[in-house]
Amino acid sequence: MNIEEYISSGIIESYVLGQLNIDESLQVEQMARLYPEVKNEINATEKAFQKYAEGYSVKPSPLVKEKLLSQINFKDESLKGKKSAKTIPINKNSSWKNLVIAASLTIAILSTGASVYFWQKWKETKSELEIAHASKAELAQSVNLVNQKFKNSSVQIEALNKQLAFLKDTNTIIVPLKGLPKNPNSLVLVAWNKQSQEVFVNTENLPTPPEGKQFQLWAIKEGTPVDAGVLELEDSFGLQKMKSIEGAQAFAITLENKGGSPAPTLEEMYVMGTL
Amino acid sequence: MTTITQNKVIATLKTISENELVSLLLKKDKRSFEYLYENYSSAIYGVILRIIRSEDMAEEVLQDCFLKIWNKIEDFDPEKGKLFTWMINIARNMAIDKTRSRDFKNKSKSDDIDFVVDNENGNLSEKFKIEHIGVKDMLKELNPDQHQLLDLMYFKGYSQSEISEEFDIPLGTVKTRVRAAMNILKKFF
Repeated sequence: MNIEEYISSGIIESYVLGQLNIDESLQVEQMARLYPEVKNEINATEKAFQKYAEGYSVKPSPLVKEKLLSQINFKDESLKGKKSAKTIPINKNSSWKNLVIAASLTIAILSTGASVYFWQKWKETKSELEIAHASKAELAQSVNLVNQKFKNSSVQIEALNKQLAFLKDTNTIIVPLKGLPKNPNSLVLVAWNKQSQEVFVNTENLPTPPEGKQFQLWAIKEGTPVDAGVLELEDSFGLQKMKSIEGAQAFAITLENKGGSPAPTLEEMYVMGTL
Repeated sequence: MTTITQNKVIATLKTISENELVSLLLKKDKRSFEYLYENYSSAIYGVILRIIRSEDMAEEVLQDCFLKIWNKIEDFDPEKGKLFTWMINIARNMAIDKTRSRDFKNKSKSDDIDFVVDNENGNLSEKFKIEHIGVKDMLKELNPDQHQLLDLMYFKGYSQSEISEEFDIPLGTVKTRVRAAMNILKKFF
């Protein structure tokens, strides 16, 4: 099964438009977890359809808002509660760490789940063959997909274990990089080990860079950005190992020409976070 | 330098992220509802209106739709996609359901005339003109076939195989055309 074929099969559009049944949707979601290309395509399709819909925008009468506001019971506390703002947990880093560990475990469970899922799918497919009405091409695709999954799974588990060990290391700090106006919805996590100086970044949450462009990670040390390498966005778990970094007060990601730049283009900064 | 950059960044941050918005919606915060309404109601209403083509009924559906979004926000899973996608799918389903109701069939008989969304040249009446110039350019790039395909899928809820059957076009051709239309839409950001 070629991933490009899957992407161009029309299933992504149907998924985004909510036209698939639960099983089919589940399959697309599994594929999105396993293949960043699928995830990116879903994202791009959503944005494209959103633009399309926005082309037909019409401002509704103000009466609708009035009616809604009078119909809904809002929680008053949250309205007034802003002054006595909720305290942010001090142990921010470790809660992030737990989150990332939990996320990694989830990925491990999901990929096992996916294997079981595809194996079951394969069984179903096989019995359908006996019944003999399904299309041959589709069957071949599913079988190939299953084979691929099994071949890759042991390598994947080994890589996951390494990443998990890195994340569990008490010297590893997780730095959340928050979306800037350019890209307000992204939250990228950087994991940096002070002792081993290794850096990992989760690449899942960034948009697909335009043709000829690539995202680049920077460590900011005493006000000076240090190149931490370009993001490939192709890593199968969305966690990519970056250049080693000696010291940093912040991390940021900018969009640069393919291959990276010696200095960051600040106007193209997508996410940023301080330690 | 770090702090300067960051302060600058915060100063220009006019919008809150989708994640923040959703978490405020989950807390049933009034401001989050107003923010949601201000930012999304025109796009959602536009879609509903294009399906229903009667302002009164479209406003009714818009209202129900926002109530549903508000009450069902717990069902939104950001892992699966954007908030806009989730909301617009709710809106589309509600609007299409409405067009199948008896209420709609009776009403549309009586007031066809006062509502002209677009004539054959694709011009929109003054009242409903497209607000975003960039989007207008985008829609112009689509050829009539592509435009019709997107319209069927987006506003009429047709699946690609339903289009193939209904219009007697091979499914492969439908898929190729959809792909081409999507590539045009994607070019515009």
